Amino acid sequence: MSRNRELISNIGLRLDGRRALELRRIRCKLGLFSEPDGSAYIEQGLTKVLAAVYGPHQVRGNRSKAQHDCAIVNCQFSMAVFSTGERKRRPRGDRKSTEMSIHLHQALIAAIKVELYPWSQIDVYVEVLHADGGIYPACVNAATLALIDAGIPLKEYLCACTASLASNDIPMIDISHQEEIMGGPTLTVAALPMSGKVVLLEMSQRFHVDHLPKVLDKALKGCIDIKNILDEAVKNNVREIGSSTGWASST
Amino acid sequence: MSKIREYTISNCEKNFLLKCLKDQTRLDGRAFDEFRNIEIEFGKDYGCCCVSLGQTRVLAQVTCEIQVPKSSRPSEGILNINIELNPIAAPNFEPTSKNDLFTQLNRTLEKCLKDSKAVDLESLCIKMSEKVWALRVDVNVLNHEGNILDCASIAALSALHHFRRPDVTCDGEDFIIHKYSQRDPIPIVIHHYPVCITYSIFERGEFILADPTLLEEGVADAFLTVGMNSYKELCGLHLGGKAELNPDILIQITQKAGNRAGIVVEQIKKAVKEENEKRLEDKSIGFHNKLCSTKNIDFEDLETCFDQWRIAPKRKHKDTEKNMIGETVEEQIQTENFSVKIEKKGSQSAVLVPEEFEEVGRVWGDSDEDEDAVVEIPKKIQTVSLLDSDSEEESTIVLNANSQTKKMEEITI
Repeated sequence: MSRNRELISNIGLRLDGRRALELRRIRCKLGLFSEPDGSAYIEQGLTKVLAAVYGPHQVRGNRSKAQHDCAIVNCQFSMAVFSTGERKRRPRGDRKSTEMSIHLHQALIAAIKVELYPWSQIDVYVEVLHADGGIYPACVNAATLALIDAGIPLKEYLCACTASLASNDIPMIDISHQEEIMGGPTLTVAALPMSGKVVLLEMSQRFHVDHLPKVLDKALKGCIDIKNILDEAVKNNVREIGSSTGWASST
Repeated sequence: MSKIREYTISNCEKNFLLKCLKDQTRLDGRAFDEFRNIEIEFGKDYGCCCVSLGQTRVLAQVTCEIQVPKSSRPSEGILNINIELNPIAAPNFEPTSKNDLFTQLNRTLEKCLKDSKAVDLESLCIKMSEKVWALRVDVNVLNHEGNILDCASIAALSALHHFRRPDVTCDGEDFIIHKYSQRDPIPIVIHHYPVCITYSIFERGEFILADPTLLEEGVADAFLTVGMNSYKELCGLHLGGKAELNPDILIQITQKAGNRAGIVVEQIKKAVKEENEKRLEDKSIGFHNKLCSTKNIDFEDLETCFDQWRIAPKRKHKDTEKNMIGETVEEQIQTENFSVKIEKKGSQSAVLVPEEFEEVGRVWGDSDEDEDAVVEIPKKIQTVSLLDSDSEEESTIVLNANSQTKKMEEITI
């Protein structure tokens, strides 16, 4: 518990100088590559993630997987060898990355309008370039941007955010790696912020169930903040593309 | 080798299940927030535990060995948890392939037991950065009838709670591992007892079912797994699937799960306590007792079940009749009134019991007669029916008559 107390100082500042409910700086860019149908890059603090989307296209590999009423979403998560402090080869099949792929898949199928593309497949590849806490939220946000770039219909923005509990009663959002290893529980929420629905929830370590409402509430607020930032980026991107084709001058 | 595909659920089944849910019923007759029965049995070895949750069965075994600790945590023991999905449990499980279900089960259980620091790993240290105990929990799924995770978490926790490691002493340089016969083995220190509790979510949060069966799992939109200990602390939480949920519902479910966790943990502790007492008293332990005894009950129950539907039951030999006095009485009355209800008896069997029979009993109990008289009645009827002719009706008429007029004693004398 004494370690927990250090997470937030007396004057309410965290280790990296943020307030409890402050996000790290988010920078993002859509349409990086020409080969995939959609791609995006996002930076949340020092966490950097690349995402690429292919599809919807014909089902590849095992044809029997194809669904008659919805598209199948194939997610692949990987981490670059240089992404963490220790340089380590991370084979794609290990438990943690498989779990990450599954969670990504679960969140994305809830947001993508899969019913529009029967007998087809959408591939989402996510690569972590630099891991500094909050890998999963960064991956979800990057995947959302890449899907928007690919022009795949979504129900609404899918955003994810982490939240934690400092000194056992102050909720804080967007946890960095340093705070993660200091201890304290981490709650990851993927949500559709406009309707306020939760799509995926993940928690590790422990805290009392009475704290859940407020932590969840703050995490959802974080999702809304992230959504506003992503929305801005998407609008800018559309404006840029539009102006380069002479669309802006004609109106 | 061709792979057997997972059983696909037909639209008929799906629609039927959803329609039932709209009528507030579940296919197995449980309430929405009702769980299946948990049975915890222990094997002869320490840390061997078989748990059944309804028809889902899981076998867990804890083993230990001495290893070099991880360099990052030199004073902590090692805990590994591994769930195996064998083709025994379901035809689409393959022993080698690591599919999504496998990964998810393993990770969730790991988070629940390991990341929540339920087991005191520091007490497993023998010598700093040289020797520590490595515990390994192997969970084998024997039958898959939905909700493996809850079952596996109960099994893993009971096995850990039941397990004892051999004592180790150090004389200067050497470490001596004592046999169980030399020194009493030491139980594992467990700080708190977290169990997984799974809810399935249908129709975008409209229906929430506790402890889903295999069919319900197939139809459900999403799952919410809550890892929780008896102090209502969350030890891992996972919501995944294609449903969107309101945060209020989530909070509601987690609150409910808290109560359930308390009950389950209590049951685990009780089972382990009883088992340990049995061991102290040198009573027979292991799975075989349970297996043998259930077989007998099943046989008897089956016979009574068949007899109830026989219009004219055959006379039995006197020997068997003596053994089953209570049952023959039941038969006679059942032929009179066919309205029966199903009463649960034994682990996996049910007995048909006529509703009227209980009522008659109650009437007798309420009357001025002593309780002893009520107990004696079956015997008297027995004698009457033997004396009487074959027809069942007459004997039952006597039975009805005797409850009102007290001429029964005269007849028997």
